Amino acid sequence: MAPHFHSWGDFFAMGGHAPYVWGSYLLMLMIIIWNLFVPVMRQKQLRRQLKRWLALTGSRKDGSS
Amino acid sequence: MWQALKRFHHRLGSPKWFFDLSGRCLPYLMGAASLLILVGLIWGLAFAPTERVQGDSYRIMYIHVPAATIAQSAYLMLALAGIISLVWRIKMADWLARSIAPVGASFCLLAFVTGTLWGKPTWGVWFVQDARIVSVMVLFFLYLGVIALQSAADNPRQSANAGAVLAIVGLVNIPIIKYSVEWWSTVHQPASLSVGGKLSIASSMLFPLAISFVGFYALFLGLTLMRVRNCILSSEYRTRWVNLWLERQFSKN
Repeated sequence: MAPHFHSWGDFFAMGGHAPYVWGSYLLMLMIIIWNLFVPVMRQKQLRRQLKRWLALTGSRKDGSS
Repeated sequence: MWQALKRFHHRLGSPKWFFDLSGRCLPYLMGAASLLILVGLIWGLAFAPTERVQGDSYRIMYIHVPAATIAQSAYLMLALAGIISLVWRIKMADWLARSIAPVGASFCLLAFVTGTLWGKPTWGVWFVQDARIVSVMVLFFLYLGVIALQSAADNPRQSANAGAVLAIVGLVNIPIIKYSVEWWSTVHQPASLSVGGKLSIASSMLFPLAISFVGFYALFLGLTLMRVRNCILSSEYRTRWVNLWLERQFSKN
C-alpha cells in the first residue's frame, strides 16, 4: 500500500484543508493528554496523603477488606 | 454455572477485586490502545485514498466517528451505573459513574468540535441548527450537568443520586441522536454502516476507521479505569488491602 500523498508538503497541506484536519488531530492530542494527566496527578496526591496518614496512625490491623 | 455467575456478580461489587484486576489489565489495555490508534490514524491520514467530493478534510472522520460513538456508548454506561447505584446502592456503581462522566464528556467535546471543523469546509458554516448537531450538544450539556451534580461536596450520597437521576432522564437523547439523521432531513451524513445493511464506505477507508475505533474504545476504558482506581483508593484507604498495596508501592520506589 503506497502513501496517498506525493510529498511531505502535500501531506501537511491536506488538500487545502490543513487547519481543519490538523486542528482536529491537535485537539485529540490535547484531550488525551489531559485525561492522562488528571488521574496520574490525582494518584500521586493520594499516595502522598495516605503515606502521611499511615505515618500518623501506624498501619491498621483491622483486617477488613 | 449459576454459582460462577453469582460469584462474578458478587465480585463486581468488591473494590479489591476490581482494583487488582484493573491493575493487571491496564498496561495491556493502554498498550493496545496506543498501538491501534497509531496504526489506524497513520493509515487513515497518510495511506487511505482521498474522498471524491470532500477531499482530504474527510480524514477528520477517523477521530470524529469513534469519538461520537464512544460519547454515546459512555453515556449509556453512565446511565446504567446510575440505575444500579439508585436501585442497589453499590459503591462501585457510584465510582464508575464518577469516572465515566468526565471521560465521556471529553469524547463528546472531541466529537462536537471535530464535527464543527469538518463541517466548515464541507458545508461552508461552523454551525447549523441540525437535529444531530444540536442533540450532540445537548449530550455534552447533560454530561456537564451530571459532573456538576456529582461534584456537590456536601453529601456524597445525595450528589451521587442527583447525578444518577439526571443521567437516566437524559437517556431519551440517545435514540434522538442515533435516529436524527433518519427522522429529519439533516445536513449530517446518514449512516454508511448499518447492522445487516449495505456498506456504503470503501474498505480502504473502513479498515483504518475500524482499527482506530477499537483503539479509541480501549483508550476510553483505560482512562476510565484509571479514575475508578483513584476513587477506590480514596474511599477504601482504611482497609488492610489498601495499606498492603501502598506499602508495596513505597518499597518499590
